[in-house]
Amino acid sequence: MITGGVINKSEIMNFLNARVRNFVIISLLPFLLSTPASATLLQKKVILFLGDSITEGLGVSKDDAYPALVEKKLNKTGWQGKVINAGFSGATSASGVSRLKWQLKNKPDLLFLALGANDGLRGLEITSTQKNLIDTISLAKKEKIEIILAGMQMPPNYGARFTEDFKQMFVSVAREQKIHFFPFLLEGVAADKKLNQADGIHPNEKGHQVIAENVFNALKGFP
Amino acid sequence: MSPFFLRWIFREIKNNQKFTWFFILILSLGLTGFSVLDVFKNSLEVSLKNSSKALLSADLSVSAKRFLLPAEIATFEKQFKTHFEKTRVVEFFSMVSTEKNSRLVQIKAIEPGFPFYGELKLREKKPSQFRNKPVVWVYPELLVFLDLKIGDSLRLGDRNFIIENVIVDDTTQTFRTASLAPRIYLSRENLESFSLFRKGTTLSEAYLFKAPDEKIDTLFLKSASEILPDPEIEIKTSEEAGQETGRILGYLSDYLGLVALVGLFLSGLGSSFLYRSFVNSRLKTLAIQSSLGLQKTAAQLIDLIHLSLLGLVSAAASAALALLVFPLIQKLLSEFSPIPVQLTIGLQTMAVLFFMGLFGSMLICLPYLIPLQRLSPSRLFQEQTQVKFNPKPSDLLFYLPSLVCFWGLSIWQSHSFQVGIIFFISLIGSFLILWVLGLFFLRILQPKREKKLPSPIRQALFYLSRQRRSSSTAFVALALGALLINILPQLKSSLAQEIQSPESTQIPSLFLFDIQDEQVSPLQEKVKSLGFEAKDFSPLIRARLLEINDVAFERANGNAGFNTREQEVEQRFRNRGFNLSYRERLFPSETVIAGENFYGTPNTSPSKLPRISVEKRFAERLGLNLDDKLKFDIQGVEFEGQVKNLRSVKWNSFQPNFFMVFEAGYLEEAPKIFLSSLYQLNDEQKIKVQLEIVRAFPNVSVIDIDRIVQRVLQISEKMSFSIQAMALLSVFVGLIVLFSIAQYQVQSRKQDLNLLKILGAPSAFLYQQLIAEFFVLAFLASLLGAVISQLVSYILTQVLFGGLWTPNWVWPLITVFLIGLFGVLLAALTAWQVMQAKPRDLMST
Repeated sequence: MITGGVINKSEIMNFLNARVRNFVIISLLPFLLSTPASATLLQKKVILFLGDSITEGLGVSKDDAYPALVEKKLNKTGWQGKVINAGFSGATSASGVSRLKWQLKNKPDLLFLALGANDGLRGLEITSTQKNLIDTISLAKKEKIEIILAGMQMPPNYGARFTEDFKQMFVSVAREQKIHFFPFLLEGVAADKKLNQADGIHPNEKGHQVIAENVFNALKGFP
Repeated sequence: MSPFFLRWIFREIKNNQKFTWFFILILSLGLTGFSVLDVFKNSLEVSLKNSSKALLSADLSVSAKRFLLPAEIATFEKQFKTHFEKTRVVEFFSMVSTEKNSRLVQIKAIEPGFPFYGELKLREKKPSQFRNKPVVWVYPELLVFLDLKIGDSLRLGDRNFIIENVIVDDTTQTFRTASLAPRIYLSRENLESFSLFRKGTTLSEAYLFKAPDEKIDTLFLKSASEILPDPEIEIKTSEEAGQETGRILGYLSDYLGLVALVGLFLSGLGSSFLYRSFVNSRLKTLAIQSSLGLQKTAAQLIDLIHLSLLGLVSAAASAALALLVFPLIQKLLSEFSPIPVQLTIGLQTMAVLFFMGLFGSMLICLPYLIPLQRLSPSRLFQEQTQVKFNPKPSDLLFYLPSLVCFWGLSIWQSHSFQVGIIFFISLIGSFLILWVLGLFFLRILQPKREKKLPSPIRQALFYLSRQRRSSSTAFVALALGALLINILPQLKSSLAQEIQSPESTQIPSLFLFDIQDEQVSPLQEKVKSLGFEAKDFSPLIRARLLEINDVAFERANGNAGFNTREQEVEQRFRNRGFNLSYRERLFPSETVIAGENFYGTPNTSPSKLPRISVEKRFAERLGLNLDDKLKFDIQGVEFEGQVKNLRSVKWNSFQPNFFMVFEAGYLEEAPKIFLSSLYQLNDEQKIKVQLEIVRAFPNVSVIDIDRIVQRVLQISEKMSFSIQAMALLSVFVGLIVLFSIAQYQVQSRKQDLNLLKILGAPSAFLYQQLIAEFFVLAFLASLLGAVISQLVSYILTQVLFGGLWTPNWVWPLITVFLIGLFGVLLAALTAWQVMQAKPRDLMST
């Protein structure tokens, strides 16, 4: 096993960067959650989860994937709407606009946008991912759909600079577009062996339950 | 052994020289063929397995998507009975950067010993500092992408590395690992204190093992997976790593096993026919000897010793032939074969040869020897030109030992109880069918009196029909021979369909994927502006399979967990979701093997559901049948379809093939991405196209598959060569056997012809009669054999090669023609000999 026994300069920088990031996110949260959410969640009838393999629930059944679990949780609160799982394994942010167009016939009124992880894993230009996300958000806005952007992070082996830039890109898109922000889709799940499948990337059933709980809590914050 | 017996045997040999030579020739040819094929097969398997080993770069690997614990490896290693060489490899993706650019790369950190098989070919031949210094070897495209050259430095994590060399060939790269990013190799020591490894790092570590000589069998692997039950850990052999190659290698091994068996069966058939004819020709002598007081046991002992001697001489001849032929074949192969085949005849092969020569010949001839005990001298006083022996049904029991022996050989050669039995039953069944049909045809050949046929032809047909018993033996032998020499080319053409890759011009150089709907036209334009054409645009639609015939397919698990690794793997497979596509036509690499070929036809099915084509093996895995109704979830929209055909796919065509393909007109609106390919690009063009496409369409990923394609092509070339060579060898042996059978049968007609000659039959009449007789016999037999060979080859392909049967009528027609021609030529030759000889000489033979 390879572990560093001594804290070196880059680790100190990473630590400081992490603190700064956390500060930014924490300071943004009140702003993000208080962005113009004109309708209450109970008024949202169709929630669209537009994402990749994590949203699709690769390796787990449709009923065990986090969008279906969120729907169950919402139903228990008396919510009577519909959740659409538009996850697509391998999808990059470039597919956002066309896939949202396909879903418009379902008349979604809340979009949970969880794209971009595959862009990062494939080392695509961050600016290109940013542009694709903004295009998708613009279309959703035009159709009067409220948006929650899920933040994504890259594993540390992609290098400190890239992982940091990638993570910050989501924060800045949410801020610039004035939309709700869900800081990290895999919060509490990533890198936890018990919550992931053997490939170490895709959450297992328990992992999806954690994501669902996090997403549900975020949705509860809707005014 | 008493000199009396020996003298007797040598007199037998001297008096029956023709039989002796043919018997030794056929048996030794069969034995040589068997040994050559066996050695060749083993050598091929070693060579092809080495190709598969190169893909894994080891015999065995234990890997996980994390660092493996020393305790886990120690537990695993306890399974080895001997010392295995070991090396470790760590793989992960990272961004590599220079002052100007950055790019995703796949990093492979290796230790000494890697790769155990295959090679990393470097551009510069110079001493390496790889093990000691922070240097890297890179794929050539990375230099272009980052504008670098050897000696420049690049940054990985928080460390700088110098580019020491460029990898021009990497045999360890498989289709699956042909990743989105070029590779960088560095020494594993460099990973120590690497800042990239922290919680959340995605990597995989593999321990690669090289086995000394211990066989890694399935039993061992089963126990190994029990020792390391963590589903994260994957244990893989080189054969599994070969994936498609491994499957085809299994086919090839079965095929070569069948070739060896067919060769041996042909030889047994020829020897058996000759010995039967020999025994029949000696019945009168045996009856005389018996009447003069020679005991039957003594007579049989003489026959047995005679046979043993012939068997031993055949074995010695085949050993000598093998010693003579092996270097020649070796030389020939080194010139033509893409495989380094090492043909050596060892002591074991020699022992097998002599054992089979000695006991094989006895077993084959047993059914004709033992019943001779019933031969009575009274036969001499019957009013017949020849002494005949009436077999009893119980005589069939004497065929049992040779049948059991052949059955055992079938199982041994095919390495499968089931395959061995099916091959055995197919041949025995064919024998019975041919025998019944032979008797039937020979019966109906008798011309009606009112039919006006030329006299020689009428005479020929009368003879064949009235002498049914002797004619039918030759008929069955010829037909079975024709069947055997047709099976292998037929299996070969079916197998070649699977193995052969298209010409290099039909194989793509670059794969493009993640092309969005709206990017299709601009991308085509862009590629066109670069002077190329993007082809094979194929839509890919993600879907979940919800139900099959209204029964839920996916399995929810909740918090239940899994009892076994297999259970988890199966469930993950069911819940993985599937890639669908739609098309207006089939690709050349696809063939509908069951159901309707619905492309381009209106949907007239009562359900009106969209028609789906499913790949055959995938249908087997999911338990799908024709007309099954499937319900999918496509991005939250439920969608139904019906399986209307099953399709075989030639996966090594490198075209974008899918397991499930809808007919066009239904899924066009669904969210999708497109795949495409570009053909015939050289290295410079590939890099230029990649750069331009990525610049214009950043999300589109371009994969260079040239390296892998070339390697797969080399392997399929080796396999194609092997099956071609083997089919030719067996046909060669088969034709010699058939020639001998026909020759012997024609010779047996000499006396009849002589009688006709004495009675004043004109020579033209004799020529025509004999030619007609043998043309009909050889033509009918070979035609029937060729037809039944299609049936047998169909059954064998279903069992052995996953139903890849492809009809091929060219070779059967050639064999029918050749065997018919043999019959005619031999008949003409014999008639000529009769015409030349004096009647008195012929009567005395």
